[in-house]
Amino acid sequence: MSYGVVAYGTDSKVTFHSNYSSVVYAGQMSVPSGVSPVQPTYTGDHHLALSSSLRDSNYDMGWITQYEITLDVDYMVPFYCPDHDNQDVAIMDIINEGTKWVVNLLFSGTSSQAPDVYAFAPLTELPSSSVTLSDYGIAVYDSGSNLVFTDNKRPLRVDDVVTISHSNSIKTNSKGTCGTSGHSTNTCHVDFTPNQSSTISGSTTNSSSKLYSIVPSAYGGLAYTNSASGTSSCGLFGLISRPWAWSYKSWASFRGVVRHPRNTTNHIAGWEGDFGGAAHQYVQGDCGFSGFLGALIGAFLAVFTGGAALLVISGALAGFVIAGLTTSTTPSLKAYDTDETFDTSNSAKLMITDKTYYGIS
Amino acid sequence: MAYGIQVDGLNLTYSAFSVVAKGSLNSATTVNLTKNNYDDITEFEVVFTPTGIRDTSDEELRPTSSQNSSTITITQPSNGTPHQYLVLGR
Repeated sequence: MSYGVVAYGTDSKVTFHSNYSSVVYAGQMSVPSGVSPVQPTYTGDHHLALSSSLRDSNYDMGWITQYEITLDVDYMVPFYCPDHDNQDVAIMDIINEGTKWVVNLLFSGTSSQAPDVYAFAPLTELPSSSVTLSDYGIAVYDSGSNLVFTDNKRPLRVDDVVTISHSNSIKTNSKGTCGTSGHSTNTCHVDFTPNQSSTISGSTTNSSSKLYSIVPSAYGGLAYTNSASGTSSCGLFGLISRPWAWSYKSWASFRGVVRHPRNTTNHIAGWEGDFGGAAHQYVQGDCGFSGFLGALIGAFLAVFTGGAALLVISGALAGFVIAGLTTSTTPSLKAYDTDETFDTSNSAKLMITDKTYYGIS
Repeated sequence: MAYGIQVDGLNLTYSAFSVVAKGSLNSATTVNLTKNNYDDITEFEVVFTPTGIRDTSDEELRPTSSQNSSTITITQPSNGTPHQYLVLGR
């Protein structure tokens, strides 16, 4: 450069530069009032209840929660601090309207173990009212008189940048089977627990003070169907028959998540459920009825995953609608008919920093 | 410290990321940035921020970036949804 100021770190890379805005810590995001972590499940017609233990053991569901911050900037980068060791986390959505920023996040553990989320933003984006300059220290301005560095706002110090990729499949081992032998009730659930993950090594050791920023790209789902039909004897001496049919369907929707085992430099890209459901329908005809009932069930099952389920989802996530915003802030969830994954060929960058660099307790 | 800058009693001996370029991706496009245009920067990272709900029923894809010794390429696929990008440098 021919004029201005530039400072370098011991790694010979720029610390601050009068041509470029530093990125600074802008505040901690908070959970909006009225929002509690949720595990949305299908509760429509013919649903099978997913108990808390089933959601964990067979559907590997995490918790969806929401954070918000009022920040008058056009660009914002969220970092999260896992609540505990080996917690799976995925930032699902980032929404901005006006001065409001909203983050939807999926995490593993219990509902009370939501990670902390912190907002970082370019210093030039922050309103001057949020940057207090001392009458001593350093203030650096660019050629447009914009404040690009000040010792009052410590710059984003990134310890490591790691490229994260998710596996092309969620689960390769058996899910098990569920059926029914002509009964009208069913409490069976197959096992959708993922067995696929990728371990990526970085250079920085994970600890309880580390902050991570990544918006994973991968998502997908697993599905299971089973059905049967037949006839059974009825009437006097069992000389007449009646038709019966049943159909079973269940699914689990997943997001690509990342885990950061402490005291290692590894990051594990895995999968965590964000929505699950199961339904079972059994019908039988009258004694002597000769119609085919299986077609009726097939039509029903094709409808509920795409239509009725959406209403159920909206109810479960009603609290995720931020008052005063016209932009949607409710996560999009999907019911799956087959095993599939999306956007797994696209890697995402994970940035790692540390709370201690910014005085965050 | 014998030389250099100290902030709040801490030696400012580390590098830090600054914003060297930023923009929005609202439709299928490719953005090419020439590294030589950014004085003194030797390391670049591209950060994408989605700016809305990800529609998982629409098979939406995230944007991607790649770089070689001279160029940074940012690509928004045809079935992408709006994202912002920050090109960070140090």
